[in-house]
Amino acid sequence: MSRYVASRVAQAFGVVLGVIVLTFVIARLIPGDPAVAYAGPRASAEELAAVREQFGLDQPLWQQFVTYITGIVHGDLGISLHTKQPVTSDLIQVMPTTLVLVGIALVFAALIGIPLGLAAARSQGTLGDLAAKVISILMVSMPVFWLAILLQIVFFSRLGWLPVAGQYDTALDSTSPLYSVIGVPVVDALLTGNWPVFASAATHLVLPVIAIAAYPIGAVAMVTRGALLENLGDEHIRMVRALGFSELSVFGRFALRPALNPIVSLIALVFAYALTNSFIVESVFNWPGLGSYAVKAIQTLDIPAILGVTLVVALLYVLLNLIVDLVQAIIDPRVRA
Amino acid sequence: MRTVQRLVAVIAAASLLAACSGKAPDSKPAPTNATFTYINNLDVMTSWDPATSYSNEGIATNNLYEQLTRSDPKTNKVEPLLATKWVASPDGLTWTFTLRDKVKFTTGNPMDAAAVKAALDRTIELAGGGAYIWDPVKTITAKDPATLVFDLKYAAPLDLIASSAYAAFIYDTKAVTGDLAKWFEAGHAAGTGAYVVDSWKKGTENELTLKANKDYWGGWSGVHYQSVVFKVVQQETTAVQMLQSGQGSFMPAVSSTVFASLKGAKGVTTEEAPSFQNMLAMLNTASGPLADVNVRKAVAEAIDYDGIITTVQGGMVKGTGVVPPGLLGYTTEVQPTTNAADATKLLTAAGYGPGGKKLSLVLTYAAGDPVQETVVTVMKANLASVGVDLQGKALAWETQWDLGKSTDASKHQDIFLFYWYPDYADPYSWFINLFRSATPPYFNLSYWDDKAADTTIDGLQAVTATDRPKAEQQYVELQKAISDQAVTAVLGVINYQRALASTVQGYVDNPSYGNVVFVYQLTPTA
Repeated sequence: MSRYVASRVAQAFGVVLGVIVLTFVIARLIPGDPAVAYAGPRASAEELAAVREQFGLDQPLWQQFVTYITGIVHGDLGISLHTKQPVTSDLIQVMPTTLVLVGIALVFAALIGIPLGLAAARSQGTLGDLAAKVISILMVSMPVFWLAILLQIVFFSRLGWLPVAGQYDTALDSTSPLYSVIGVPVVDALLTGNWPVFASAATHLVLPVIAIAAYPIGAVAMVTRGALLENLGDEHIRMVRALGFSELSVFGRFALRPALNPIVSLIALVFAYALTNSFIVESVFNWPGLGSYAVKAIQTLDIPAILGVTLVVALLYVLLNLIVDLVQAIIDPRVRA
Repeated sequence: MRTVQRLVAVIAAASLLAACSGKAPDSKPAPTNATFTYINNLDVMTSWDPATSYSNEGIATNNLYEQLTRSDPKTNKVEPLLATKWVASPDGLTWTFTLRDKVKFTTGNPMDAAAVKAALDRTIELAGGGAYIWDPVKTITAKDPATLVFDLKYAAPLDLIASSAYAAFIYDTKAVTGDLAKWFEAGHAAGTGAYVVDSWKKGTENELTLKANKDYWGGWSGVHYQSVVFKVVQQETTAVQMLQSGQGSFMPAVSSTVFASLKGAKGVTTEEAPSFQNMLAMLNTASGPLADVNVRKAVAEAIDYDGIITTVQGGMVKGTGVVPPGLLGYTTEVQPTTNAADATKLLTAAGYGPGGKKLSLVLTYAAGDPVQETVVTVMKANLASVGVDLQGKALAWETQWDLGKSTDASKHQDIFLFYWYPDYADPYSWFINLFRSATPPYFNLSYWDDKAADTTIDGLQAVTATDRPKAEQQYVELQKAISDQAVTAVLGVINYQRALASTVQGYVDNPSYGNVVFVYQLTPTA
């Protein structure tokens, strides 16, 4: 097991190093003068020279790479051209919001997708199976930006049931001021027992979570159904049926466990998908997370911020895949071999 | 008794009828604690220092700070603000401003001549942002607490300069004893404006909240907004829903299709007004095929200007000369004309077209701008109809500019497409930046080199300060020369399309302060 872990960690490290090199090369290949992007189009020649010196842009390329790597090791991802703040501190500020949003969406995806897939497998060939498949395909097919706006129009504009955007009703700031713990209102409110804000934040979570969770729900349901149906033909299933176990036990205990392998792998894949979908969802619902930050960075051609986001997303993805691989190795000893 | 009873009954019935039949009492009472919510699509505060700020934050800083004067689009003049009157010497080299009495900064310190001098001296010394506007100034003297004297190196319209949306704010340099710049960047302000900072939550939806400055010199009689919230909403559809539901008061820029759908919508008022920003196609007069003036004229005449305006669906209005409407020198004597037949003749005479050489031109423009994208598409079709192959290259601004101002002429584009707008309500910046010859080129991206024009441009500020009618004539002559030589094609003037909640009254668009809403001047209604 330890050899397996070491090899996976080494692979992950290699991928991360590759991403770092690639992001540096891309940043230098993009034409244009970052000093102008920082100082503005009407900056004088002296101002531009000062900016170049400040950011080491006048150094040879190899020296810039060494500075870049050293910076990353020390957590320095440069200065955002838009916010004029260190990219690292910007990312630290926005990451928790996105992780909470995507995390809750994935939990919902598992809680809804797995039972949906299980129900479809149990009622294979029936109308129930067909309905589950149609729902899954619909959820996978709907473009997230379209779904997000549709949810707003239906549940806010037409029905008035849910808020249009934001993390909580800021009018509560005067009556129930929120103490910030991690900077995510729903979590901060829960941790500090601020129930009015928690209720408001939970309500504000509904639409963005649905928008992000839609694709994962559909994907998880379809993979669960497929994996279960594959396992149902196995000998051990025939045996437990012969021993008189209920169908619920057959599906839930004996067929589901071996089916978890592909489901767990899938969740790692849909995490990356959900993270990139959050770019759009956060923009639509005004959540100040990594997605909003990335969209603003793209709109303002903020190269350091774009690279910072790219690196962080890559790191998250590599880390999650590493965790998934290790979990799979624990669940299924065949993986370790 | 019966008669009295009948009379009472009649009176009661009449009263009841009157109460039921008459109009409902006139509108609800005006709100006493109204909040104005400005919906912006990007972060508001990127810089807090009033001396060097030069970006989006103008929409907020113009409510926190004030200038000596303010440009008024209704009168087309410069109006008093922190200065009540001013006088220029006949040669335009000395300007004397009388300051408004009994005005204090929000720090409590008085806004007197010494304080104003200190603020402007600091702005000039820091030389950041738009501080170049003070280039004509030699010295500033606080003659007495109410009098400020500017001595200039050369004559310039200082009243206009002092009204600039950037780099002309008057602020308290004694707000702190330590590092003033750091104090500002921590989210503080020290102005004389009608509002003060209540909270700044960087990166959040309600990024900036201002509250009424209770000691504001303009007073608070009547009904005013008591607080201003700057809300960051990236997605237009979300912003529109907020506006319609009453969660927002103002959207500064609405796309043409959404603008059309909001006209007449319940709870929303739409406003459109031409800005001082125009879109220019700078034609390369120095190298390549367009160095031939007849080829430039052909290209200029091939463009369907009306077609461009129609295609952008209200996003632009038709321009005339280089100077947009509302500024000194605006003229209708110069009109862009479309004449494909004449364009073809000119091209043929120059050796292009059927039987001649093939003409291929490179046009650079800003990537990610849908309006420019649309314009380039139209121009491509227009030029194709006269046998010219136009290659549009969408580039990041820095790249477009890098190539344009390169000292290697072979890297230069044939047509440089971009916007220009002034820092204050004066056309001078077009001519000094875009048409004055410069080596290496800065913003003169037609590379136009005309000594007579240079001489005129160099004297424009002095003439504007001393003889405005003459300045107007010179601006018109310059525009005629630019048009005669087909140096640039004015593709249109950006049309502001805005949406407001119908509870907002008193809004007047002021193109001198792009996208700024002077909230104090508005009246909230229920």
